[in-house]
Order: sequence, then structure tokens, then C-alpha cells
Amino acid sequence: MASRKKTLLKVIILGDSSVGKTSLMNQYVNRKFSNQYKATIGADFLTKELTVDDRTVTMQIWDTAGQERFQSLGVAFYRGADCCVLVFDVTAPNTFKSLDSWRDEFLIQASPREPENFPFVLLGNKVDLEPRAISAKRAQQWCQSKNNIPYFETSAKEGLNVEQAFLAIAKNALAQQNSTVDLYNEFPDQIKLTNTQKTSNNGDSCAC
Amino acid sequence: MLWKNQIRENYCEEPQTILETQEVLRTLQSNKDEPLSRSVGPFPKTDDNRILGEVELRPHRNDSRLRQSKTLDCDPRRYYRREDFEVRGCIKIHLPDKVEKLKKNEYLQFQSNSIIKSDEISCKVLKCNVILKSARLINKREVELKDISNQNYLLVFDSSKDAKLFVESEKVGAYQDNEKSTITKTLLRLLGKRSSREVLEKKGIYQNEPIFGNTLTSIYNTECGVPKFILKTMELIERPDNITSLGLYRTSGNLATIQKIRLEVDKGNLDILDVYAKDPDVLTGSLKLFFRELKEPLLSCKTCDNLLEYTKNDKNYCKKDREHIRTILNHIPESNAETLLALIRHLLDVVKYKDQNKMDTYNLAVCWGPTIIFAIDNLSTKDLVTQSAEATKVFDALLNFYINNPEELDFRKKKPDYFDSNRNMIHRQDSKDSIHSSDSGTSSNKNKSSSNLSLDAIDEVLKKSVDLIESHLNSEGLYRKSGSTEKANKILRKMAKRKLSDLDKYRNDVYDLTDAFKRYIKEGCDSLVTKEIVEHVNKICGE
Repeated sequence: MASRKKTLLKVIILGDSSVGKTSLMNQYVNRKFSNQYKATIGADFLTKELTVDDRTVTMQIWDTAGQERFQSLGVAFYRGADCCVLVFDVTAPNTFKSLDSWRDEFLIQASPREPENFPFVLLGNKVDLEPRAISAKRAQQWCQSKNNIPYFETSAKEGLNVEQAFLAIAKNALAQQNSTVDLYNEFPDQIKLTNTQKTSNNGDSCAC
Repeated sequence: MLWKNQIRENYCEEPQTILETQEVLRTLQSNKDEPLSRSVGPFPKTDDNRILGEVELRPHRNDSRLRQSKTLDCDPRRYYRREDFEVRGCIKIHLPDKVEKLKKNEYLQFQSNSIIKSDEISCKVLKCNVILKSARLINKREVELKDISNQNYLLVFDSSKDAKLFVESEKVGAYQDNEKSTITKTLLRLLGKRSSREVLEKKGIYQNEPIFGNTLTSIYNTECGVPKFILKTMELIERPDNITSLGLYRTSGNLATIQKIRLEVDKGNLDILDVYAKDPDVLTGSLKLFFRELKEPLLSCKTCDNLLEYTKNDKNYCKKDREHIRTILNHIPESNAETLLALIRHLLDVVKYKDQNKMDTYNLAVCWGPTIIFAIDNLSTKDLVTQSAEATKVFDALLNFYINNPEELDFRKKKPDYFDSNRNMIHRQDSKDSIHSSDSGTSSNKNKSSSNLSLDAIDEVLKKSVDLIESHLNSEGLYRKSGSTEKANKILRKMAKRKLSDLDKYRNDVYDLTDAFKRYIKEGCDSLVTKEIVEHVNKICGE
């Protein structure tokens, strides 16, 4: 039964500029890598269908611009996300240092119900390049300190580990969605228009 | 154990003193890394069983009997004040050294700093001398307790409901970030008392930062030109090693360093930039931050919209388009125009190395467009994405425009040339008027000898008027429709007195301006178009 139901997973890719967010998304969805050096404006998304544990899910991958100026876009894009993918460039130490601020920024802007349990996945991209500045161990240590975030080393250029990483992302997103579904159902009851109208009427008559 | 017996012997009459000493030692022990505290610590971990035996012998001391320090900020006994509690619905507890399972009728108790397992009839002490400091839900069915020596106790519950209930119960609440919440309360109280930013700004206590977060005009005026910070940063970026660096202006630098530069630059210390001369990302980051932080954007949204009209075809600009762009940029404040041109000159240098730094005009526009063009108020009808996309498009086009028409970069520098070309234009537009007026005006001119102006003298006035009128080039019937005579007279008086700054007041009254301007020319016409020329033209027309 469950397999018939279509699920939409919203995944956000975050990270400093030129770590390979667009390339990772393109490699995963289109299996293409472009050598073109092109910055992203605002945000863009692609969708891909995949099967996770016999369930067909549609993954909506949001690629964001890394430029500082676009960070204020946050709220509009982050809300309703099921999983957040943090990307850094293993050859650029600065991009690793920014991870904390990206994670915090996301948690503040998206304000998920359980911030400490919200699924993140960390990708160390460009492993095909030399010299490496951030070792796998250091990245893993960071992950452990953040409630055991899954970590993958990828290369968008060579398609290395990209498929596996996104499968893990989908699984984490799915787990998150399953756990929050019940909570969302509680909301509709709480809007009572009739009551508010009454009180406002009373208020008007009082003022007269 | 020897030392303890000794203390007891020495202070047997003062059990409180013993207790206090123990407490101090216990807090010392919480710092595990200190070898001293480990050697004298009251309960070495290896002696667990013996402690257990001894503590059971010791009579319970009533917590309330403890003297509470009123002067000490850091009271080592503060943990005593917390309440004891019972744990129901727990099925397993992980102690530091063992795991204890609980049967259905058994429950846990935390009493007098001991963890006790009990059913209705008997009880068993699992661990004593536990001074708890925090309790927190780590997942749905597990609660983690922490004591002051950072040892963890994991409580596993049968159901998530029990776990939640337990953590939310009042007594356990005492262990939840108590210090933190008081700090938060104090801070909130303090922040609540503070005056709002607006009030501080009014009083003059809160001032703009000298460089970052100021307005470009005020920096420009104090420094008499393009801000030195911009020029210096650009100069450093243009060094051969930096300008070829991959993704210049795209890759981000260390934010902490950038903020440090900001603070130093605000203090007036531009030399800090030299320290980071070899880190182009930090330099580019600071420069971008400067423009983002400006109170008003370098190019306003309105300018951006205006430019958008003329920048649709990106390569072939006809003369008209070029003039339009020039006019638009000519009407932004001088500080912004000069800074913009300096920036564009610099970015064109960057583009020259695009094979190495991979930054073509498009990439630079993505990084720069939204940085220099943004809405200051939230009244803008466009969302940020559309606006950013437009900003990018405009800036990309602008960069290409200047690559293809490099001579345009100097339009502000060559003011005399610009004036000349405009004068010719005026002459063309006004030729009919001038001729007619000179026909009839020669007589009237003489009774106004005071306004007998030479070409040199009218230069400034002429230029200013042309500037003002040119901002309304698309007005219907320009130079044909007439405005109010009264206003035109006023303007004319200002013109005659050469009060250029006063003319700005009338920048929107274009028809009054044109009227006044025509009359102004009329009065000075004998120097612009001589009688001989008129006769000459008349002859030609007659033929």
C-alpha cells in the first residue's frame, strides 16, 4: 500500500560558493558534469524519482546560491525542508569552517520542530582534486559532534559516491517526514474563525 | 579513606565543616584533568564498593541544615537545593560501570544524592554520591542524566510518553539548564531596559560606523573622492598573484577575518589590509561586505529599472542607447557615479584574466549585481530573486557595455568635451528659437546690458541647466510647451546670479526650466550666434 502513495521530499543543498552544489545536483539528476564555471543566482531546483525501501519518492532538490548576498533568501527556501545537505570543498579549508554557520543559519531560518534531531548530511566534495586540506577524519569528528551526521566523500566530476550520498539523503528525509506527519495533522483544528469574528463584533459595539 | 577519618577526628564536633570540605573537594573532582583532585578525591572510582558500604553507615544529613552562603556567587553546595524525585516507567538504567534492569513493579529513586532501585518493600542503592547537574531527553525513550563529574546515567523508558513525562516533571525541571535560564532572564531584563536604536540615533549616541554601514556620499565628502578603503582594496586585489586566483569575488573568505578587517578599517587602520595582501578571498569579501553594508545601494532599484530598458541587446549599442545610459548614470549622485566607474574599471581588469580566474562578466555580475543593487526598504514589489536576477542582468550588460565602449568610462572625466558636445546639441535643438529670438532680440538685448555674458561666463550655468533638462528628455514637447512665467522668472534670476545649487530645487519643473533656459540663451545670444551668422543663415535660407 505504502508504495503506491507518492511522497515528495524537499532537500536543500547548502554550502559556501564554488564547493560544487550545482554540480552535485546535476551529476545526480542528469548524470552530467560541466566544466563551465558558473555562479548560481538565487536558487534553483530539480526533481528526481527514486525508490527507497520499496517506496517511490520524488526528491525535490533545491540548489542554493552560495553568495553571501543570497543568504537572506533563507526563510522562503528552507521552510518545509525534510533534509539539509551541507557541502564543503575538501581542498578549501574555509568552506569547512563555514559549515557551523550554515548549519546554524538553516536551523534558525527553517525552525524545524526538533532542531537537534533534524537530519543533516555532510558531503565533502572534490575528492578527485589535490592537495587535500580537510582529512576524512576531521570531517567525521565534526559530524560526530553534531549528533552523528552521516558523512560522504564525493566527487561531482567523476560521479564518485554521489548516488550513495543522495540515497542516504532520501532515507534520512523520509525518516524525518514519517516522524513529523502526525504533528502536522493537529493544526487544522486550531483555526476558529467564528470565534474571532464574534469577539471583534463585540469589541465594535463596546466602542460605540 | 585515611584522610577522611582524620578530618572526622579533627572536626567531629562540626559535621557541617566536614560536609563543606567534602563539597569543595567534590567540586574540585569535577575537573577530572587535575591530578591533585584525583589523588585526594573523596571517592576514587576503584573503591566503589567500599564507598558504598561506608556511606550506608553514615547517617543521612538533612539538606536544610546546610548553611547557605549569601555572599558567595559560586556556592559549591547549590546542587543540594535541588529536589529528589522518583522515576516511573523506567526499564533499564546505564550506570557508568554497569547496566541495571528493572522489573515491572520496581522503580528508581533519586534521594539524598543516591540512585536507589526500589519496589514497595525493599530498596537497593545503585550508586551514591551522585550530584546531578542536568537532565535531557536524547531521543524518544531515553533520558540522559549528567552529574558534576560529567558521568552519564542513561535511563531507558518503556514508552516515550513516560520519558516525556519524566523530563517535564517539575522536580527534574530543576536540573534543566537552571543557570542558563537565569542568565537568559537577566539578559532579557537588561535588553528590555535599553533604549531602542531609533532613540539612540536621535540622541546621537548611536552613530554610523565611519566606513562600513555608512552612506557613500558622506564617506565621499569626508575623503574628497572615492573612499580610500575601496581604492586600496582594489589595488591589492589587482596584484598579479591575486587577480589570477580562481573564482575571484566568487569564493568566500574567512568571515571572522573579514569582520576583523571591518573593525580595523572602521577605526581608520587601513594598513590591516596589507596584512591580508596574500589572501584575495578575504579582500574581495571585505569589499563586497562594504557595498552590502552601505545604507543606500550604489545603484538604486530605480536606476536599475531605468538601465534595464536600455541594456536589452548586450552588444550593439546605438548612439542613442549610449546617450541614454550616460544620462541615467549622470543623474545618480556624484559619489556613487565615481565609485561605480572605479569599480567597473577594476572589474574590467579582473575580466582580462578570465582564462585564469574563470570570472567572466556573467560570474562577476552574479557576485556583484545583487551586492550593489538592492532595495533599502521592504516596499519593493519584486521578490529578492527577481530583483537579484535583474541586478545581475543589468550589471552584466553594464560590464559588457564598457568592454565594448571603453571610451564611455571617461565621460565624467572629460567634462569640457561633454559640455561641448551638449552645446552643439543645444544649438541644434534651439537653432530655430535662437535665430528667431536673435532677430527680435537684438533690440531688447541692449536694454539689458547687465546680462551681457561672455561664453566663458555662462559655461557653468549652461551646463547645469542642460544637466537638469536632460533628466527629462522623454517629456512631451520639450522646449515647445511652456511652463509658468513666474517660476521661469525666478529660475532666470538664479541663473543670472549664477546660483547653481538653487537650480536643483527646480529639477522637476522641466517646462519652467526650458523656458528660463531659452530666455537665458536669448540674453547671451550675441556671443553664441552672431548677427553675421544670422544674416548668413538667412541668406542661405532665402536662396
